[in-house]
Amino acid sequence: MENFSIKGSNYIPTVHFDAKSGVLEISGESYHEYTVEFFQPIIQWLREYLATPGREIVFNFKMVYFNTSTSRRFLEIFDMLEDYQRSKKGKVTINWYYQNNDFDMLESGQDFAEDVNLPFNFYTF
Amino acid sequence: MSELVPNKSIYEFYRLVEEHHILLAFQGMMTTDILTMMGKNLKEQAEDHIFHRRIFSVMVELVQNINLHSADKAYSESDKKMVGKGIIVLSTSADGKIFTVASGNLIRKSEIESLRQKIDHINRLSEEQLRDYYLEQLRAPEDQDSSGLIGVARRAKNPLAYDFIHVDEEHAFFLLTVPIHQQNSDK
Repeated sequence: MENFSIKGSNYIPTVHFDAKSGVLEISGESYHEYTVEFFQPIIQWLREYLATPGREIVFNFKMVYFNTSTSRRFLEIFDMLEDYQRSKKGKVTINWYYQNNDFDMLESGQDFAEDVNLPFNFYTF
Repeated sequence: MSELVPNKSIYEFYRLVEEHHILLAFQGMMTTDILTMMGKNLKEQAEDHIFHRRIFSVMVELVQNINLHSADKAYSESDKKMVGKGIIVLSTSADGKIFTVASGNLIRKSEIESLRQKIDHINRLSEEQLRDYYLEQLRAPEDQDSSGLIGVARRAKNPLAYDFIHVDEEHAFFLLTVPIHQQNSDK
């Protein structure tokens, strides 16, 4: 499967999914007003990637800021990953990075960690 | 036919901005490009980046609220769709310790009651209840949820103040005011 990349700009995050290593990363800022459209190809790539069972996935979130609308899309991704781990013998690790002292971003990660059944690690960057 | 703005009005406008310590104001179509410009402007004034990001996050949600829910919409060339129009104002208290983000837009009068209930409900919840409600609403159908407003209440750590001003038979002007205290940025 091909890798997937989006070069970030003002309100668009940088995305790099490495199909072979299973390291998926999203970073930067995301406050697109129409996140359904923006995330559609990302979700689509993931759906195809997760069709193969037994993958080992490390998902790095290195976000500086994201809006509520983006939170909805992240939750959608977490639900997919949770389902993959439960029913497709996948092994998923979430690394949630937040800038030093940015407790808002830490809290956002903790929200997700409480809501979905996936292992979360928290790191500063 | 609109007339030219008299010089005196422009001066009064300038005075108003000075008097109320308005750092940033925009009236018109709430496009994503406008948000980016406001974000850059905020960064230039920033000393405490994390606090300013918190202010920006409140602005983003209020701008997107106008975009989605304003009764006054126009076609945006940059966004290639209809976007809501309204006003957004960022000001500080005289001592610079409290920042207030205010938004205003036209709504249909039939929407007043449900909006009032939505905001009153959010204002009654504790921090923990807000988190649970937020997560619940993130899974609610798009455009019907309150997650944007809940997010604002959580970031601001203050109740959301609102007002409805009579415009005409069908419309009201919906005002939402969110104060953010500087010391709240470090827990």
